[in-house]
Amino acid sequence: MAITYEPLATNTISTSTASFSFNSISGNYTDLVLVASNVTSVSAGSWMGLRFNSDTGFNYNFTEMFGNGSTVNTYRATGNTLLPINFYNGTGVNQTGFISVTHIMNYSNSTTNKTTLTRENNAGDPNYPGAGAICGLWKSTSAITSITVVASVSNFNSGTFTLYGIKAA
Amino acid sequence: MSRYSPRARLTNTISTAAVANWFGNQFIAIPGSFESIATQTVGSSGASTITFDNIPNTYSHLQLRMIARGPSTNYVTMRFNNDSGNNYAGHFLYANGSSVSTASPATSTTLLLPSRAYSATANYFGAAVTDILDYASTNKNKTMRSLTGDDESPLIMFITGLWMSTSAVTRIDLITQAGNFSQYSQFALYGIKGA
Repeated sequence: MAITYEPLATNTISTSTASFSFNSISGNYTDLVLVASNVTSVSAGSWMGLRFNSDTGFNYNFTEMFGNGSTVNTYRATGNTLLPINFYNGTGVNQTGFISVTHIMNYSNSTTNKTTLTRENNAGDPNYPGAGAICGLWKSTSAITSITVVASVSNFNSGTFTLYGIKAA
Repeated sequence: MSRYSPRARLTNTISTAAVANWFGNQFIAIPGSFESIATQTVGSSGASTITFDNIPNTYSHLQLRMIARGPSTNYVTMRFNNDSGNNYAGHFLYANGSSVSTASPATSTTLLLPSRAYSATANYFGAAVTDILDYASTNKNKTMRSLTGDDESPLIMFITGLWMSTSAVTRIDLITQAGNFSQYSQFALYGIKGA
């Protein structure tokens, strides 16, 4: 039986890293899922963002809600140069890093703008604990063939990133 | 800290082909544990209802993955086994960038669910990933959860839903509140097997 939910590539960060890419993504799947775990940054206040097909233009929108046990907030931005997939990375205190799971829907079609859905959380970080979700949009009908994961301000210190492909019937 | 002016300096480039080629024999994924059951894509004439019927009971859970577009102020609604009785309930937590809200509509004849599907602007589709847990059980009411979002009229939403029936789910209908789903809307149903 063919694998329907297939790991495509994994990158584990062990040194200070500003960004990395998954390239030459096959168009044979329907959706992609990017799982990021134990993501920490060198210093606090940095977050993970995605770029598709090396598009550095102001072509990314997002809507986010995030709660930390005391308050819940919502954020909205249009015309970004990055699509956030978490609130803020941890710094490794309490041996915790951020976790996020991002669904990149119908990534290989050349008809629709690309929509993403993310669940995010870091229960143990003393600076930015909490849980939330993000809806993102890449304003392009191009099929996605590469994904660049970017540290917004401070380099990644750690993290494991696995890209999966989901194949529909 | 601004979320609008990040720095970007590419340092590592990884080809999925190269890694996957090495990784190919290291997979722990079990073939057949996450299976595609059926996929429906709306054609040029549109569709008001998408139906998945004769769903086998051989899985533990179902997952529905969708992108959808439809008339303005349009939500996707869900019905199980063609049950049009007042047997559905749900809770929502949602935000639009300005405010966060929660709601618990009264029980209804359909499960207001997984996605919003506006069509004010071409090529903007709502999306949802919905899990239907223990769908084949005949001992419990059916619970679903959904993560959904839409950028056209911005929204991010968590949804939990309940179908007050102990019947196994054998059919799922996805229905627009009004009008048709637009061309290129796509609905994909997957089965997840237990050990």
